[in-house]
Amino acid sequence: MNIDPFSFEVWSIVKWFFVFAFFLYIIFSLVVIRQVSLMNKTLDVHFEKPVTLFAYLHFFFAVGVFIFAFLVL
Amino acid sequence: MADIYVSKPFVRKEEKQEENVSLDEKEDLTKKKGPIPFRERKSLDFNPIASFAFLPKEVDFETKNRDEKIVLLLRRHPITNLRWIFLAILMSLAPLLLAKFPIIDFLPSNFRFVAILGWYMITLAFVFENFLSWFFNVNIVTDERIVDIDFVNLIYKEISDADIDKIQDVTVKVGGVAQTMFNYGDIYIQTASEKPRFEFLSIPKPEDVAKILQELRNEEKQEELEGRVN
Repeated sequence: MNIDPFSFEVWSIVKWFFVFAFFLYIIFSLVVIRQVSLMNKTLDVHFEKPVTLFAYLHFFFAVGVFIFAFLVL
Repeated sequence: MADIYVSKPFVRKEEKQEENVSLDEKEDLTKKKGPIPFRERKSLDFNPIASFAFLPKEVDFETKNRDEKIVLLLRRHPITNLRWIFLAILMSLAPLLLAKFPIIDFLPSNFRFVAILGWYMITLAFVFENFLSWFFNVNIVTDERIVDIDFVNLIYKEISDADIDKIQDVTVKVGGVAQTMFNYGDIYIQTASEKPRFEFLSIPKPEDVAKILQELRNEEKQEELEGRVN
């Protein structure tokens, strides 16, 4: 089996690029959670549960994709 | 002793009929006789994602005083969300186009799959941010003041308010096919407060909002006059 070492190196770099991008996205999703919390404090219309739940789902999705990318790539 | 005949008080036919009419019929009468003062109207069942809420009971905001009563909670008309909803649909369908336009085929299959997952994550963030922007950027009218809550981006918010008696001029603008069809428009409020101009953009029923603001201003003037007399 003939593996091109240069090709292997490139995809390894691309993998870390992906993983870093997803890590940044996790930080973004944390900011969104904080933002939703501040928004709910500013305006209370008894709809904070669905909005907060969605923000947390978004965060967990981001964490899931990060782990998936880390393991699969 | 002679009986004294006491006649029934004279009541006009129109007035007598009006006593018996229901609230719905009374709404119809307003078309002929002008609007019912907002204090006589009943609050509707509160829907947290409504763009026009009249006398909402379950609403609170950061700078609200204890004895302050919210008269109106306004958001942009839902129809204004169509643009980003349409864009979000296009974004979620975009990966299907990759079958016809193989622009990421140079990537190994596992990288392709993760790239598509990342794309859907960005789409999700786009939808959520647009919804939050619509949901939390509100205009509030209370019996004391008008409040404009703006979340410009993730980390910046602006809350401005002006007392009702500082309102100098209210301008209603409704123009274009969509605004005329769906009855929404812009209200520009000139005030004598620190922020000279308030903009309630793309809100539903702008004429009703202007009428309510007028009633509140009249009430404030009345209170001011009574205060001076006493």
